[in-house]
Amino acid sequence: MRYGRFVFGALAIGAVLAAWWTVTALGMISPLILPSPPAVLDAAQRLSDGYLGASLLAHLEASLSVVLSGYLAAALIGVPLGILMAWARPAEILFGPLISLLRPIPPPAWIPLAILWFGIDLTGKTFVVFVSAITPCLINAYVAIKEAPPELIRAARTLGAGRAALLFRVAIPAGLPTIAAGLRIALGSAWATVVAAELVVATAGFGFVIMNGYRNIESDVMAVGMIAVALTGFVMNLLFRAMEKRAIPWSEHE
Amino acid sequence: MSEPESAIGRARTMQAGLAVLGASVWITIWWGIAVAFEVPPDFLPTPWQVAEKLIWLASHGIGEGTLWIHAGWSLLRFLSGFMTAVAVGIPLGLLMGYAPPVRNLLNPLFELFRNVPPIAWAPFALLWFGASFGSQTFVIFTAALPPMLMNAYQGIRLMDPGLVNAARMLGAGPATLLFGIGLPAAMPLIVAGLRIGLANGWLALVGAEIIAGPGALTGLGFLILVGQENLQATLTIGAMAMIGLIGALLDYGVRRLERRTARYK
Repeated sequence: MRYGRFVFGALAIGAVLAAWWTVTALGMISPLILPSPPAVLDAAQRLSDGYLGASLLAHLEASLSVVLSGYLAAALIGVPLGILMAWARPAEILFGPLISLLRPIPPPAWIPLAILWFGIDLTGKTFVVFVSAITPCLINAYVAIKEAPPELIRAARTLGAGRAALLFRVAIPAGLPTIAAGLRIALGSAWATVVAAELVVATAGFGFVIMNGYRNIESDVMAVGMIAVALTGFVMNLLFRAMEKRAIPWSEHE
Repeated sequence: MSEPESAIGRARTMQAGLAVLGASVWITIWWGIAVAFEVPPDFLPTPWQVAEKLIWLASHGIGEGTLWIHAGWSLLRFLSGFMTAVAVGIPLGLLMGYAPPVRNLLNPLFELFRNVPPIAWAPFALLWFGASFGSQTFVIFTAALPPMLMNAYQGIRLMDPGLVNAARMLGAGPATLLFGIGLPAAMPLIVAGLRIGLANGWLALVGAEIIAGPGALTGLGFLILVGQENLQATLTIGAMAMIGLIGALLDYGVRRLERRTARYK
């Protein structure tokens, strides 16, 4: 079964690659619009040596540093706030409406305001990443605690657990898989957001590479930027899942 | 009205009251910060200044027209991308559930392309379709398609095999199986997929409008950009509020649909 899936996967991806190669090699589509695979490889080689003052690694570093600082701030504020809102009614009454007010605004809509407030340097992008990442962190932490299994809570209470023990030794451990899922979603949306912010304004980063490729009509450079974005997102998700598995062995989902 | 029902009604009214009260507290805090620290309105306007700007914009034009023209264009772009995603995603998802070879061929491609954030397609879309309707439709389509397709696919697999066998024995053809058993079983998940697709698509619309730059001359994303470039925070925040409001209304619409289809279960 797994073997069959692998064959089909290789077949499908191979077919797409072959179609891409054929169409571009026969000149059916202008290389200005769709670069050929060899051209993309060539551009990747050129970019890794240096492009617009930085190598691919330096662009990666620029994007990653923004993502990580915004994301960490969102996790450090969002998760505790979500837990607090689920555990203490006054906190829910106070912060619930603020979140209902802000949540419908999509993160990219904050990009111009962040530029207006913080200028075009890293602070503005970090702020937008923070805005995009805090919602899933907070919502999942809230749901995790609200939906802590009642039988566990009651059992612990019967055994004489106090309020603090209920929260820290029962509700939070039981909710960790849900909290981790929120953190993983937040990481994905933080990555998408930093790329969007770099597409609008930046001096480095993968989004900047893609946008510069567009402005100079270098579709091969754009393709390299897109592949770099996808690959980095994929690796980040993979690393997160590996850490999740080690840190929360009682998590049920794969 | 029976006793417990009115108690639920009273609890609902109280919750709604608390929510409105809470929201007004935060809007007052916003106003208080802007006034107490004498923040220049170019940086952080008061809520009233934003409301004033929106009212002004309802009858005066910026770029191609008034607020309604911009909101209309944004909605139109959104609907064109979203509806294309519905028309392609749901049938294709159902087909993937029905026909294993189709599923086996398409799944790896989705796994591959899932790693590209939809907004990252915006520059290529601009290259392919120009800074126009087509490029935004494409980006919204890319963002809204995966959840709708995946949910339709997962939903159709919820068909009760007992029901399918019974219907087959009674002589039901493939069409009856699909419309009589498959779709009703899949409906709740399909609607849930619509809801996620809607949120993704609306986010992508705003991103696409902002990335396309002020060259487009229409759309709420365009208004946000104009506000930023002319240092008019009232315009930027006002357009953000409109985007949030329309997004919330769209979500409310799908949620009502969700409640109606939940009765199938």
